[in-house]
Amino acid sequence: MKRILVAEDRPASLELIRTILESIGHEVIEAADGQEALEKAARNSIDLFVLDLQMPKLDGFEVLKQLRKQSRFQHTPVIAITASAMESDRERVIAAGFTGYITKPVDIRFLRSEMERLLK
Amino acid sequence: MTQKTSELPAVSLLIVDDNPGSLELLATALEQPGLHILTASDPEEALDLVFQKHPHIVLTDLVMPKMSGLELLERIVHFDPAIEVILMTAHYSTESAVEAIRKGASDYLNKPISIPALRERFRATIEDVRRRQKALELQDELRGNAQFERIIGNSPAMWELFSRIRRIAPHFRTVLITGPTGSGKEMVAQALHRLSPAASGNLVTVNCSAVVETLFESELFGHMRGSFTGATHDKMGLVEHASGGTLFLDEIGDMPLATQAKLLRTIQYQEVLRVGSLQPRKVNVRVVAATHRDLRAMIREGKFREDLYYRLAMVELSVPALAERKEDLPLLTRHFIEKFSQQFDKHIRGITPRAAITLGRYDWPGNVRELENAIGHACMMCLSDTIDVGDLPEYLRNPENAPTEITRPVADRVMVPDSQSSVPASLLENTERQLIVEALAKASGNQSEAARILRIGRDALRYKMKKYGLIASRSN
Repeated sequence: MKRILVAEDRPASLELIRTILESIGHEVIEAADGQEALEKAARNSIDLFVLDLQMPKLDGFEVLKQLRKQSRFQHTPVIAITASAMESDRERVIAAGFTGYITKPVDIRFLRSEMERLLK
Repeated sequence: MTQKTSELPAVSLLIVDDNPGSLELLATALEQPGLHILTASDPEEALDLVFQKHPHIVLTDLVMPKMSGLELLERIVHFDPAIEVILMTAHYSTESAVEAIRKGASDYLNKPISIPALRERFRATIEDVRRRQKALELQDELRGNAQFERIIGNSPAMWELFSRIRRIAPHFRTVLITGPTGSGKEMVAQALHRLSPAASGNLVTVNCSAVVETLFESELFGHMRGSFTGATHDKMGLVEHASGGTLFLDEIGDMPLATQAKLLRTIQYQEVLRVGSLQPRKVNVRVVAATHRDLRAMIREGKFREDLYYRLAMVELSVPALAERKEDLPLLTRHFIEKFSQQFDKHIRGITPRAAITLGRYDWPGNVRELENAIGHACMMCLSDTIDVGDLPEYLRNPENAPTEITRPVADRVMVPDSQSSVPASLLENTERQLIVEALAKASGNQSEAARILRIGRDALRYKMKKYGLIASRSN
């Protein structure tokens, strides 16, 4: 069991991701925006982050930047949630230093296999 | 690498859709070698097929007359949680996806979905199913090698233990086995005996916590006729009985101090003095002692002899707690499933991933013995061929209700003479308690009704509820 922080401002989407992650035995810590994500990351040990790119206060890119500045999260996998599957988005996400990305609507199978791959 | 089998194991898929056109389209699109496809155009027919043919994967539409895809999902998961159920709908909503996953769906697809994308997905799912089947076979193979003298383990901690047993067994005179309750100290003692040059002799086991203090010496060393009231003839003690073999003293911490002194003498001089006799008798005995207690602390409290401790602890083997070798859980789980499905004459194939996760989350204070009890309980409860979370004992499912020293019901303690240790109740008691809890729940707390369900009298039920610390709730 790993501890995963999920930051996503839409409650329905957050609930879905949490349910999927819990169905494969992980513990989920929720954050409704980027600011809350950073606060909770400071207080908990986290094995993996799932960050929505468009969030109020701090977006996913900014949260990633802040996390990478901390030595304890330098090598922690961080996955982006993007609204579209556009090729240009994908490149932007990878270039920014995200470990991987998922698109909405969330592909259950893909999310599960990404977790398996990244949390080995 | 294991050898590749020439033929891939066949995987079966059941497709359920009330629209005959799309049913046919899906069946054609997914056709491939090694995949056996079944179809059903109504959910009730689908359930019949599930019960009869036991497919590996079910792909079903969400909206259907008579029974929704979610209800079908629920009933399939109830029958066998290992079946992969994939839902598919044109009316996708995040809420329904959440509900589907909660109910155990393995995937939830949004229609329309292109044929190539669907094929690609199924390729992955089929691979998963094959991999799982292979893993089961491989685990069977592995288990053959993961056993050492009937002790099961394939973790570094256990390799170390096996290697120490192998090195010690040929030469030891005394060994002290330490380790928490239920970790398998007796199995280690048996292995030491079997691998020793004295293997053809007797292995005599004495549980020091079970011997009445006044009879201890006569039990161990024997007595002469007339040496005390009731000693009607000469009797050989257990040490003499173990001569030429191994004496295993379990729970040595519970041995009275006076007996400890005599035991030390026996070990040092290899002779015993029967109670009432002045003539020492020669013996040739190897001594294995075991304890879950901290003997050094007992020495400080004056409850254990220091000289005996040093004599015993010259060679010490420590058996790890199950929590320190959780990687052995799958192996041990499979071993116990096999054992109990034979014992109960059931055909239980394995355990669902989420039930395995539940086992992995628990700390197992009662160690392998507690795991054995839990799996035994699950095998008894299991109605399908795969153990799921619901079959596991209640305290594993809701860790916050886990028995602690304070809330642990009385029944869990009566077994254990030593109230310090946290040995779980026996399988039988756990199961009886569980059945009572379930009957009470079914009867909404009404005791007469619960007694009828259990087919026992009301008084018997009350007695048992009291015994298991179940507080009676008001009947409606």
